[in-house]
Amino acid sequence: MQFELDQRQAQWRHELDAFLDENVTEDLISEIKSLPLHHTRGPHQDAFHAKVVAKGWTALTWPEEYEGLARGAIDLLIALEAFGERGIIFPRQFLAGTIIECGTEANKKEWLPRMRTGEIRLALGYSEPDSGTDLASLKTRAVRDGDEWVISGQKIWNSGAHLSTHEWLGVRTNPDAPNRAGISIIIVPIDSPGISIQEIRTWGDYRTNIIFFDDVRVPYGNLIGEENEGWRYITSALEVERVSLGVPVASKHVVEVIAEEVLAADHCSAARAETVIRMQAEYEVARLLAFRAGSLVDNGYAGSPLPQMSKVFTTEMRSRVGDVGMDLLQEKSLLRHRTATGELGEVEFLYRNAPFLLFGGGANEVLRDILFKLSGSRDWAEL
Amino acid sequence: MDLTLDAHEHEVSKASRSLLSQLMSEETLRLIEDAQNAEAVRKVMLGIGSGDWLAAPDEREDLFSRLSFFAESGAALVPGLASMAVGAAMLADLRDDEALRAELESGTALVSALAGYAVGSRGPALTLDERGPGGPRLRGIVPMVEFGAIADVFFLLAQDAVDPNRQACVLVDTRRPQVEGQVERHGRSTFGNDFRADLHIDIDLRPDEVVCASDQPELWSKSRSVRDVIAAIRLVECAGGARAVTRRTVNYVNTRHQFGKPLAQFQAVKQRAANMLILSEGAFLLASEALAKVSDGVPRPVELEWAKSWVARAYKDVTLSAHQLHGGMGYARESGLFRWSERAKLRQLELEADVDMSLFVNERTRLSA
Repeated sequence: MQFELDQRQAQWRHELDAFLDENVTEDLISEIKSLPLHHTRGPHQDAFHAKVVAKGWTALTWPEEYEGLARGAIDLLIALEAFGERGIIFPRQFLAGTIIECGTEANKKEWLPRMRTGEIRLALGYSEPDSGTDLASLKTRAVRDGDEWVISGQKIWNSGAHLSTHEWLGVRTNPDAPNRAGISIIIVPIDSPGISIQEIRTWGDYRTNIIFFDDVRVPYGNLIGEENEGWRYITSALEVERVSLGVPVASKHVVEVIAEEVLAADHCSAARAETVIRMQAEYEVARLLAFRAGSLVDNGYAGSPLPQMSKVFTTEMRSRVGDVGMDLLQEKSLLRHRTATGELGEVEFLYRNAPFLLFGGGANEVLRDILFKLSGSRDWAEL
Repeated sequence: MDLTLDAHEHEVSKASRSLLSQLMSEETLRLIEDAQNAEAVRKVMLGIGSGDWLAAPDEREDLFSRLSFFAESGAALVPGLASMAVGAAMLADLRDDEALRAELESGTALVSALAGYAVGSRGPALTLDERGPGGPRLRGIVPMVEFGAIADVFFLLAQDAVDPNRQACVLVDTRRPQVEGQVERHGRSTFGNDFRADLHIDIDLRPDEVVCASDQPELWSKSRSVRDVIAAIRLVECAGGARAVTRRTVNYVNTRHQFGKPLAQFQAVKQRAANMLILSEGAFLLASEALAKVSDGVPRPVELEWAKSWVARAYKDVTLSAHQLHGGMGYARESGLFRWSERAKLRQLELEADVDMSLFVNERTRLSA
């Protein structure tokens, strides 16, 4: 096992850092910090995104035949860390992986080039008011009418719909088939007549949406892959992309803020120091689990339970950092995010938005079931 | 960065399996683990001390791989014995003590190396006064020394009687006639069954039995690295043990039937087993990273301190979950599960108390860049 970046990986990290040094300007950071979270995107972010596109990095893990850079999971993790340490989300469209794995050649020609440039941005339209964890029970209906689909229904927790150009929509195309068997994926332009969006504000300050489809018509060719095969597409993703679920870098800065506040105090008790040290240790464990997941993928070992382990551990670690962090900071933790002087407000912000990822991106209870099952598929400890 | 095992690591793991079966039988293991049989311990130490166990530093990672495997295989006490042997060999080399080295390799001396409880973080329990005409005088009580009841030779830490900033590493050979009888061992049955005893010491040492002191930076730094190596082996023990317990538990819940189906089909069971899988994987990774840094000779690696603060606790939590999932079948001593459970809690107490706080509080070490 090698715990340090090798020469090529170190060069990659250096390339990323050099790009970020040049292009993460004060204006960009100010814009990110001043705009409401996930509510809008400003001109500096658009310009920055264009530069990332020009580097080809939005297609970092795509196969070369689709204008991708064909890089592996570890390279993706390195990029996520580099960007994340600057407070920037590495831009990628993970649904491209599903199109690459499962789409028709026509799908790939139609969507991938414009997804790579960001001209098309997809919002994930899966959950419905009565279909959350039990996604297979979804009811939004798509009926074929000549060479069009007619779509009716609604989706909830549709984060990003207000910032996206298209919906990646899970729809029921065969109501007579058992749940999972009658689902398809159709891409729907969000500016189509019959679509309306309603904002939902969350405890974590994120904006999400309900989106209503009232006899919305889209071309038949917007179907991804084959009709009624959608469940397979929903549960697939490029193996290399799964590993990104557990990258902990978004909480690194908060761990450091807490450590600085607690350990640098005049009288830091052993108990408080131990708590902070253990917090740092958990961050490192989360990081190692993500890189272990990536290592297994890059070495050709598909289907490991590591991505699920990584996601569960990292999201629960984040939750503990917020919770325990507030315990350690006591009254200072009450300073609100973005109104606090300094960065202490990051702690209460983490406390509020950590719960979302415990059920979002795959509820941790479901992921535990899956990883338990996958752990028996081979002796992963031998690898 | 590649967190998969390479071909060499696979080979070492395979070789370890045959070495374990040569090293001890189930009967020997029981004698050590349950009956506190000193002769059985000596026999195992003979096996550990011979040949390539006491490896050169550049082969140390192989040693650690073997020990992890041993811990996984159920020989829970063996890594502790091995950590003593390795630490002792390193300290013998530090003082160019070929005679002691030979005794270690032949298994004729059982040596306890730096094994007082929380040896680092709480400060030495002994004082060393080098002013007297009779030579250095060593006094004090060292609590809960591992193998304290049966070891022949001890490497211990002492505080200088005059200078509060000076510490020393000393050798106490209980076989020396002048020493024999002046080291009182107050042994009793202790949690973890590793022959612990409080050592009550009031002896004159020979000058050469002061191995090194903190005002000798190079030697002191080397003695410090011995403590890191011992800690790294213990962490490897924890990681291996956590994996062993998890594997055993997953097998159990897949085969044990209740209400007409395997326990593994109950969601609460799956959830708990999944937590064990996550903890044992995390423990393996963090312990492996710590030992990699120690093996590479990194001085005072922060990863080692993180691992001390987390790995053994994860191991302990895994064992408690294992008891819950095994129910009565695991609670019976016959199952052997308790062996891991006691080692886990023992290691948690010991390693957490040994975290070098100064690295974080004084030197403000943070997450790596």
